[in-house]
Amino acid sequence: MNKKGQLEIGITMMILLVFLILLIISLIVYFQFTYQGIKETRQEILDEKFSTLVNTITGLPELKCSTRGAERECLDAERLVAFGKVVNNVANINTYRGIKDNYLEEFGVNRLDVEVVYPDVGVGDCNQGEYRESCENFNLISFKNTGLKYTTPVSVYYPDENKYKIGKLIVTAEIN
Amino acid sequence: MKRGFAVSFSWLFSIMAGIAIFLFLIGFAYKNTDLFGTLTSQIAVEELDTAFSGFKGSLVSTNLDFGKPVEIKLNCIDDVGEKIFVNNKGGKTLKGKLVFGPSLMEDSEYIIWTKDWRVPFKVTNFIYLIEKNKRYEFIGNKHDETDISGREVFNVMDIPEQMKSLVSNGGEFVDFKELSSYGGCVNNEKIIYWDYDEDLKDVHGFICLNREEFEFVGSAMMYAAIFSDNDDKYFRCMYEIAEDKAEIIAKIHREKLNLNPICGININFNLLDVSSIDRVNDLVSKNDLLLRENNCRSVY
Amino acid sequence: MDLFRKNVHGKRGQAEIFGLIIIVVLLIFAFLFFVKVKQDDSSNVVLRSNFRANNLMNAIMNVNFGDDDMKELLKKCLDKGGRPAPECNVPNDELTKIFEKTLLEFEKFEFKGTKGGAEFTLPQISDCLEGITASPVRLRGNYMFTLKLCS
Repeated sequence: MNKKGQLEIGITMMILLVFLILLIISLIVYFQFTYQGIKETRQEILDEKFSTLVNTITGLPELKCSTRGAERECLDAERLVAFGKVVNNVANINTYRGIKDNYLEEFGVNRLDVEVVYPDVGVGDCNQGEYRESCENFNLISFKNTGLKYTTPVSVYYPDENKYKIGKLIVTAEIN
Repeated sequence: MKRGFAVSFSWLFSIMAGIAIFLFLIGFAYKNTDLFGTLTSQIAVEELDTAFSGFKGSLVSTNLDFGKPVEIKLNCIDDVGEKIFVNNKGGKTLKGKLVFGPSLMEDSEYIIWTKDWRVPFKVTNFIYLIEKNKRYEFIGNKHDETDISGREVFNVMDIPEQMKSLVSNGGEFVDFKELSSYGGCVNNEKIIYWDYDEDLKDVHGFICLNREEFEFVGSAMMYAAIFSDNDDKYFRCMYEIAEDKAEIIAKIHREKLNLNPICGININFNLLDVSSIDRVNDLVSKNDLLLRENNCRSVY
Repeated sequence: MDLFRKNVHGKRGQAEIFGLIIIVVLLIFAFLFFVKVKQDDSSNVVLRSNFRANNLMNAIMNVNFGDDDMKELLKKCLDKGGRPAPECNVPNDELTKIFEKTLLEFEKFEFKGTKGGAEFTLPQISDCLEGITASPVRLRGNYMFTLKLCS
């Protein structure tokens, strides 16, 4: 009788063990799926964020053309140079560092550039020397060179020539 | 006896095991629901942040309908910035966006409106987030010199109808007084001391909120004060963030002037105080002079 | 023997109960999987493409070519009746370069300018059935320009 009782308890324990193992496996699989789903949602949200950001940046008063406060739908080349200098200035780190960190945190990007594509201009960085000479790239913010690139075409106005060129606003950001 | 006890013991054991498993499943389901609730709130916060990013660049007025009551909390902490919380579960710091509204709101539908803040150059768009059922009661005498009352200042063409519908009797009081009567902020009432500047073509004056005074230039700042409160120094913190933002834009304009030193020679952005109408008007008049007499481009 | 049968039935009962519980657990998990429904919000994709199309249209209309801007060149082309007038060669070449440099490799587009019966289209033969259209640009003199980014 005792042995039968022991046997019964043993069988019950085995069943419980199998049940627990099945439960743990199910939980692991479930949480893997949930984690994957959350990761994908995060990527979708970031993708949406950077796609919107590209268009938000074209509207920033820091960069947008204006005359006496009245805005026009273009980016001002002089403001692009000035913005890059204010944000990336290494000569006066104490004054300007906070500004760069502010923008990096606000945008969450690795890089922000405006590349002039038409008409053909020279190669080079417009922030290094005179932007009026041939140069194609205005670097606005620089942190890392890696990441996905989100772009939108923009009209770039050169005030001293009173001419418009075509460029691409490039946001480099990571969504992983 | 033993046999009967053995049988009922099995059943008892089965029932207890079943109850334990059932309770575990209920607990798991509850925690998961809460997890989804937190996740949904966090997604809502991220979507709001993305929407605000879009509104920052364009002038819009729109409604946000959640379909069920949602609690939104806005707070502002020095050195951290403005934070938004949804249903006390999801939260985020709103970097670079200035969203004004009551610190605590609960409604199923919200109104979002943006207005550009100019001093006189554009600094940014202020974003106003208000419950659709919120009401404000404007009080105060007609302004003698311009014969415009506070309500009429708010009634101008560029304000959308859904914003004007927030103004009615029985709401939170907002008192409008003449700027010339300003003598400090002595009580907890929300009072706007204002005047209209013909050169700037905009309003300026002082705001009193919870006994704190704020000098302002521009209707955008005035609307910000109308729709916000100063609980936990919220408006004070936001005001300072706005001023910091204006300083950055001023720095960019100054740097731009360095590319044209002859034209920018008499304009000193270092002296600019975006809350002082005199300093702002000084920039406007110098800019106009440059355009008229020196054949220079507009500074801003 | 009867006692033995009774014991066996008791064990079977336990096993059946546990079996049922396992099935219930598996069903609950399956239900929770199905509860997480992904929503595909295609409206955001359309909005973003709209911005791109509008930005590109704006940039094209403003761009300078010599002393003229693209608007003037296109107007001259349409004033002469559209294609195949020689006045349309320059805008054709320059617009082709612009689209090559601003759009992605696989991106197709359809640009059209009209004035009355005169028409200028780029590319000349377009297979763009669906796409995102920028806000049309209308200029005094009954000129109209449209841009579609094909999907």
